[in-house]
Amino acid sequence: MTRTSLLNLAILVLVICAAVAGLLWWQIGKAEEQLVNLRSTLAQKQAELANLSAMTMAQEKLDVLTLDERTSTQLDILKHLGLEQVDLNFTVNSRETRLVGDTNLIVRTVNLQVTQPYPEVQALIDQLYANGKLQIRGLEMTPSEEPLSDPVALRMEGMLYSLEKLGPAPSSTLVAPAADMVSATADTGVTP
Amino acid sequence: MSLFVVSRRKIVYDQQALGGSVVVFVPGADQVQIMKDGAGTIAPVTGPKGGVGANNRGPQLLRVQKGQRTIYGHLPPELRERRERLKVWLAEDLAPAEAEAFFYIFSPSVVVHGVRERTDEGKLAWRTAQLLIPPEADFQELLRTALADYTLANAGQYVCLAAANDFKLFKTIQQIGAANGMTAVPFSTLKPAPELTPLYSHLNFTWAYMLVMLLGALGVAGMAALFMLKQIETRRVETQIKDTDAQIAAVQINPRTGHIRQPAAVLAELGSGLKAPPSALLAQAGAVGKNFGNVRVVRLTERDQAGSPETGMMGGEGLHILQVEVQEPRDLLLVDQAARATEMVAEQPWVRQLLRTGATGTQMTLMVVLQASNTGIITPQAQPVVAVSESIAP
Repeated sequence: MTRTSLLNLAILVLVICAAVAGLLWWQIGKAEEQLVNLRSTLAQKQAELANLSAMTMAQEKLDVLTLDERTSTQLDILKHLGLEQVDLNFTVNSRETRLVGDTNLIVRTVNLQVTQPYPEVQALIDQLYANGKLQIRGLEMTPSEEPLSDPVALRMEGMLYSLEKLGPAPSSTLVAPAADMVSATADTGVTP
Repeated sequence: MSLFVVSRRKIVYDQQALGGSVVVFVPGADQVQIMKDGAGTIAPVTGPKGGVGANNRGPQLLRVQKGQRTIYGHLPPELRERRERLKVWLAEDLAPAEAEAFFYIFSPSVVVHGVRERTDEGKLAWRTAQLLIPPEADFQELLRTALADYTLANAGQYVCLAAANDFKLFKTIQQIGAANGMTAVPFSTLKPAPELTPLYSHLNFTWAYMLVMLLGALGVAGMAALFMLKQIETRRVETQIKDTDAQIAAVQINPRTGHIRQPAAVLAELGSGLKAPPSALLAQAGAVGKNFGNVRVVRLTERDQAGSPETGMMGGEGLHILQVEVQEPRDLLLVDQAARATEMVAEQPWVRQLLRTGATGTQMTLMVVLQASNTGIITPQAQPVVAVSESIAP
């Protein structure tokens, strides 16, 4: 290969390389622009997923922590709290409706009175504290005055929340909701 | 190293080898042009392709010395296109300084002869020529005759006798030279004087051109790699978007509470309640009260938790205030109760404060401040214990 043909070849190769590199650079620019858009879309979708997940989790938690207002009989309340097999005195002191956003939140102030051995009372307190369905506002524990007897008296005051939920009501509901519940409260003789 | 001999305008001898090339140029007398400038400066001659000394016939073979430019001819295209390093010298440039004449024998048909002589202007100059030796002539006899004639006419002068690097030819020349009292030397041992510049030279730019092409190719390869990386990254993000879409589609909406648009606000309205397990708080407060007498009632109410600045009751993060009613206190004197309280606070660091709020007959009420961590576990705190003796008030 002669000196001139080598020079011409070098120039030709450089020109071709420059052209290909320019074309690639242009394509890289387009790809980068597309990548920025895709990343933005991905960030939006991930935020949407996070919000949706958080909202779903909150809805699940609400479903667990609150009572269905359509089936809020005393038995339903006790089932909700897991106390249907506990011998206790249960009363509803008051019932009010709070508007949170576009949601009606029904708040009941309830009283529980039970006399049981000390370990069972402790377990009951722990159960109600752990499930979070009853927000405990006050506790009063009175030991028995009899020296040989073990039972202690517990009086608990708390807040119970319920919502208007959708879907089929639980089949265990035996009576209608709020009105019956209030009458049940009246039966207990405790002033709301 | 390659060796070429150019006589007038054509290559008469060609010995190819690796490495650079040396061209011995023997110009015709009619080829030489001398350009002078009275000021001693010579304007550069620029040809159509640019570059000093270039014109349509290729690079000029020239030398500038003492205010005059001497053009000896043009480089043949075959040599101009050689990629290897190339230097063109006049034949006399290679002659030793003390030589008055030279014979360069490159082959039996290519012999260059030069003689130093004085010109009409009184200057010493070389007159060189390629000897024309017919093919049918006896080369050795001709050379022997020429050397003998020159030696006879110029006795005592040093004559440079050089032969090309052909061993057989060199031995022949050596024998002919010895017969005339001359010593033949290999042509490759002849070097031009350091102050002389070649008539023309160019470097071997092959590796530079290759390097430039390689760099260009590397640049393209780098661009291609970057482009591929961008494509791979694009595919990866697209896959992530599809996965996220699938996850969004797979999210199960609770059918019972899915209609609630602001569940977090509703959850916040529910409140967080007590942070410490109330059973543990009740048990601990009862244990504290038992040290003072028979515990009648242990009470934990939400309204007490803020503390009471008026009575000096502590309140804050992790502190829980419980009320303990005690019957038949063990110590009837306030100072004894305070001593017992101080001892208890010292031994049980989670008991932060004791306050006696009321006492009637055999009954008294204690406010017990317990420290619990945020996780709800009652633990000793590293903070100093609050002195309680003053807090036990009647």
